Amino acid sequence: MSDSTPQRNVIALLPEACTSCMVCVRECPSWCISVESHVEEVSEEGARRPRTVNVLDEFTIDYGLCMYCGICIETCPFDALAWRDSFDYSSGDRQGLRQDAVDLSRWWPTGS
Amino acid sequence: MTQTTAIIDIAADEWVATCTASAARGCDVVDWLTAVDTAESLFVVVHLVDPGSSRSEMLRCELNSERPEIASITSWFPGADWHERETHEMFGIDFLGRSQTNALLTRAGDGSSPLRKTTPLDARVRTPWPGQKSATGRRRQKLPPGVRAEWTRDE
Repeated sequence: MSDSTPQRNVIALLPEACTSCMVCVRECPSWCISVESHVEEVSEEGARRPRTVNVLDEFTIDYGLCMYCGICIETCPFDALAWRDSFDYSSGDRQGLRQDAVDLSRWWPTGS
Repeated sequence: MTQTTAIIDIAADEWVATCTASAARGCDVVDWLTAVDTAESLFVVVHLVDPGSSRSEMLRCELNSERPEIASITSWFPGADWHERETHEMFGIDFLGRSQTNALLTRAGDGSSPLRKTTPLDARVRTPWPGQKSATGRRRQKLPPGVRAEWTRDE
């Protein structure tokens, strides 16, 4: 492991890369991830019929349940999840440990 | 560097003799003893090491999963005591010829064996699985990993 490899401190989300495929949700051993999504039809010029795409509505990780195994990151087929070095996200209450897509995507660029 | 130790399969009536033979060859310390439930079969496994070298031997014995029992090796390996006690509690395996012990973690007299595949995972049955939904909103019939269909029917 090189020095630049992030520690297992926080999981960052890149919402644009997420296709709501649910692989991470189903593989998570501690059931700490939940994903809300819906299907939209996208019409493309020249296409015979509209394409259906999954649109991510909400992505939540409950850090009160997460055991930092990293299986979600390993299994994500689209590299929408990654480790980041930050660790200062403690909370005084249980709900504060639930991070939504906005919270999780904030870790992505720098991890701080 | 990881070193792989070959697993030697032995019959239940040769369990003590094979373990003591390993000890005679130098592997006389119980590193660990546990059981493995593959749903099809139940095994008890012991890892014996030679503290003077990196040598070790791994012995495995298939048990009757309905009435699992095997001879205790604590008379020859006092270090196996804790492991046999834990394996008895978690897998319901009776180790014959040793003093019976109180349960460490499960409620006394409960009779359940938490690490057996047949033991229902109550919390997993009751808790809604976040993976049940699909992106299209259709509910999938698939059960969460490790949850058997027969556990959910009597809910």
